[in-house]
Amino acid sequence: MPEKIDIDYVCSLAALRLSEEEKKELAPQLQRIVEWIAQISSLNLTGIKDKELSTVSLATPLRKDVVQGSLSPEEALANAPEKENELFKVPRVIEGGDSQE
Amino acid sequence: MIFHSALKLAQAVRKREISAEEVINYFLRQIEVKEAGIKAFITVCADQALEQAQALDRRTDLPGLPLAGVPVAIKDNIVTKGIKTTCASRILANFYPPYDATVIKRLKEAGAVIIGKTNLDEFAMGSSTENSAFYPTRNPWNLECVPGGSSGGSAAAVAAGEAPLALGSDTGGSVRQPAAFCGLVGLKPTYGRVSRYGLIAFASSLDQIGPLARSVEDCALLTRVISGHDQHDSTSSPRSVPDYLAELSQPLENIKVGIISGDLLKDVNPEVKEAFYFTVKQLEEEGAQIEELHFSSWAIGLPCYYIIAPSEASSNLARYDGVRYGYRDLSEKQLLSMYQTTRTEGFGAEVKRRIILGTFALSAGYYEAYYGQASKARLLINQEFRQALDKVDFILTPATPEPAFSFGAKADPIAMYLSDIFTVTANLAGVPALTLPVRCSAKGLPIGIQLISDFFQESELFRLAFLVEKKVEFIKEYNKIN
Amino acid sequence: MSLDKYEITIGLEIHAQLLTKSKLFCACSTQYGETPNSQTCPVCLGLPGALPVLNEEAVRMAIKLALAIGAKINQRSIFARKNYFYPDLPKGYQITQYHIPVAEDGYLEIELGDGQKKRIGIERINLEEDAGKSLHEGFPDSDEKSYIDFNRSGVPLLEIVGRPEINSPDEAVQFLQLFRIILQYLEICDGNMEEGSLRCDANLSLRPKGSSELGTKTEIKNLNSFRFLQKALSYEALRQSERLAKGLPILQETRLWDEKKGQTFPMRSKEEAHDYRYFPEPDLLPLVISKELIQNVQEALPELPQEKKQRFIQEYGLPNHDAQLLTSSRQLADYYEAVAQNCGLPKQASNWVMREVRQTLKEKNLNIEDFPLAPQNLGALIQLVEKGTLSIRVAKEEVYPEMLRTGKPPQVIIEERGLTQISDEKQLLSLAQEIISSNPKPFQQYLQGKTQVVGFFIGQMMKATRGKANPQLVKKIITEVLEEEKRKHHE
Repeated sequence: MPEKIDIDYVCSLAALRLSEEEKKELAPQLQRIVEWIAQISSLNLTGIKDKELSTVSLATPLRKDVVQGSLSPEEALANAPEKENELFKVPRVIEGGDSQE
Repeated sequence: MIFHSALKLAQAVRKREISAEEVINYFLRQIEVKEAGIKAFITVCADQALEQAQALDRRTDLPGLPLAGVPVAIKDNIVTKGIKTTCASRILANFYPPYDATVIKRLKEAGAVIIGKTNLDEFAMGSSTENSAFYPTRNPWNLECVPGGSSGGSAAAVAAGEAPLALGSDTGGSVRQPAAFCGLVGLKPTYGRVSRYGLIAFASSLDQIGPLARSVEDCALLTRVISGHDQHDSTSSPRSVPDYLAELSQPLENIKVGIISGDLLKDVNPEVKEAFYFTVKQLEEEGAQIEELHFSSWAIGLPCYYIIAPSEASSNLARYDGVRYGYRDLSEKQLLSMYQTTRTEGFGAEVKRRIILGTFALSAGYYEAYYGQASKARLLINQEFRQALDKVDFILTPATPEPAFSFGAKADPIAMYLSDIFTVTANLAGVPALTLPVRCSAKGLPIGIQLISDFFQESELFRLAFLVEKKVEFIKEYNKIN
Repeated sequence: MSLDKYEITIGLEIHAQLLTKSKLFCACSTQYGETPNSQTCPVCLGLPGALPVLNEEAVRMAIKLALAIGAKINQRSIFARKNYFYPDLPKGYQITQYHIPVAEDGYLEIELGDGQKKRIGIERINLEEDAGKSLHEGFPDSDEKSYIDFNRSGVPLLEIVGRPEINSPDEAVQFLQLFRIILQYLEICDGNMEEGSLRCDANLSLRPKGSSELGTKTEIKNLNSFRFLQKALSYEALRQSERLAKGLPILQETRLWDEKKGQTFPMRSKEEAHDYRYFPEPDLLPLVISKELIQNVQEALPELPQEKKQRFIQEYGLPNHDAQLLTSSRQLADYYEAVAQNCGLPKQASNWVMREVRQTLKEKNLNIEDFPLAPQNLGALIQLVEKGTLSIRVAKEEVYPEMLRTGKPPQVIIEERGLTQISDEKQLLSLAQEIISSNPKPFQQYLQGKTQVVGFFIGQMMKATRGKANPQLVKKIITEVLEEEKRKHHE
């Protein structure tokens, strides 16, 4: 039996906020889709090993460590919804520290 | 001129029998006349295109340019420097990229002119172009019908004669299905054949840019120009690119064509089934050996695709957060709320559906059962393709389960997803696949077939398609819409 | 004290910025401190359509570290996406490694107070990209806005996950110090904790002594100096022990160190759970590292600090303490070794480098790389002292500062200023006679048996020669002349 999708939790991970109406419309659709794709989880695929999972067997190409031109700050910021002093501007990040985790 | 091939247009421009500027002016007029009914474009770049054409006319090296003066319509999920690139999404409605996609650079180097950016299902998610945030595109063969999708704008533009060539992108059939709906030749190249640099990602392991054209020759010509290794795309293949056009004349001998077994055709529209068996007969007449394949994993292709593609999409679309570009709800004072309203207002319903689905499939506790299991299923499909293509040279299937449907006919998402039943497997396996129109339905809608070959066998694919094209003479059907 | 009942368990997670010229997945410069957003491109800004291509040098640097800490290098490793939203994370995911890292299972050996060695395991090394920099303070509207600079976005990092095998804050500091020195020896990270090119997070738990099961741990983020690491861990251990003593549970949480208050405090917990939805990065193929590449890196691997220290002890006969100090930086060790080889006097060279040279570096706030004295000149100075040409005092107080100022070799300075030590006995003899006769009072005292006035006469000699006289010789001669005069006087 496929799981019931927890829309509120998944939306919080995906930074989406659905209205009650949207949820009412989406929830049954999503549930049906999840039930439909769940046929995959019931397949017996034990013969296939994890390490073979990459569809391409090649090696990723490597780039020489050479600096080439960057965009100018004006170009980098050209599409920014809010900017000042060559910096992107966003509503204040409340939580302390830095994003590196 | 309207149905002159790109090949002939380029020849005429190279010989200066006609100027590039005249060609562009001609197609801009076609767009002016037809756009109101078709709505294939999001942006028409009249000024830039004319400028580009005039610059071409001043050049002395025209004879070296394979697409000299040929206008190409570009799906609006391929970035163009300084030309608005929207992905048919509200979230990118005013995005002006600071760089050109590799395919755009290659087109310009080949003398092609970017004439406009075409409509699509938002972020290439859909099979009808109804999911565009701006407006739907209409099928030139019947304005009441969808042109297919997601490259519906590109297909409609070429079918309507607004451009001789177009680029689309194909993640699960998004070039081939609209090509079939609009009576065009469409190719999804081998994964890695065409650089994805500058293609706005939907599902990175499945996406390929592909050409749409009215003839196999034009399709081969355009494929040659856009293919080849790109150092900006780590998944791009270093293999050399054959001259597909020159190789068209090479004969194919002792061809073995595998056809999918009857059980997979049971829900297919009778006229499509008929067209499929009609093609089988044509091939037999050409001496091809036909063999029915038992492809046990074909049926799991769709659910497998609808796990992998949304999973990758959920991650690929995380960058649309209102910070660096695109739409932002400026009224929000808190970061988290800004993210949420920006994304909720910026994305359409189908995109949100897929983001939620993909986020779910990757989330803690579900990863193994969904994404992990789908990755294994994908490998199974891949293995089965390899086995099949050891036995036969090509696989023949219908392109779509039915011809173009009318607007609103597929309100149920799963019904819409089923449009891709024949096309998604080639994306999952990475092999090249081409659709080709073979006849029209009683209602005058094109019906296409799909040919699949082994990795990097585009040349063989074009040769077989060329053979079928000559036999079925679909090009005559175009008289009906002009 | 309640802490005595518990054993502390600490694990460190270190992020080291690699010294590549360009970023991990694009050709933008990694230069620190440039104009904001002047080192970005479609790739590191996460623009639609951009794709990553891996930097070869970053891979070589990862292999270097793996070899240096005896880790197993995976022939095939996989990049993965770690998905979370943060304004300085441009793509909404970080490209890192998850299921198969570039290397795993290494160790570092630290020396405990009693001279015993202890191995600390390193679980894995991940090659990953850095995020941009968020600026939360210092703008007129900082109470409602944050600012983002993406110059740092995409700079290569090695994430080093240490095993929880450290048992005290001191050990943790030692581990991090050694790790930093190794990174610097390998020339893959400058180790600058202030600028954030080396960052450290720590997790700590307590368990009753003798218990085999680990207690609940807390994670302390951004411990970006050795002092903070030491203080935060000590505080946290105490805090946990006090809670445990009261029978209170330890919450598994992320905490930050508040330097002003001298305590750790819980980070405002994110509303969402940490569900990063890792999956293989489809824009990159597996990273394949060939045996040839490993061989190639191995051959170019420099001598590591521990090896160098042992060699200094054996080859130069240095005491453990000297060897330890001199090898604390590759550049300092190189400088010392050049001086030692130039003068052939390793212990004297060690004294000079450990005292004068380090003193100068400290005073002038210089790095050894920028130290103005060529090692052959310092070597020559040491030899001049050894041969007796210069007194140690003149060498230190007059020649050495002049060498620093002018960069001239010591011989030139000695000649210019006439500083050669006077060792001419005849000259010193007549000078001694002169001084004794012109100082009758002290001489009278000497005659009365007050031998301590010898020092006065030595001082006068040195004064008259402006310190150039060989002090041993002066002492010998003045004593002889005084005795001689005493005899004459009594006759």
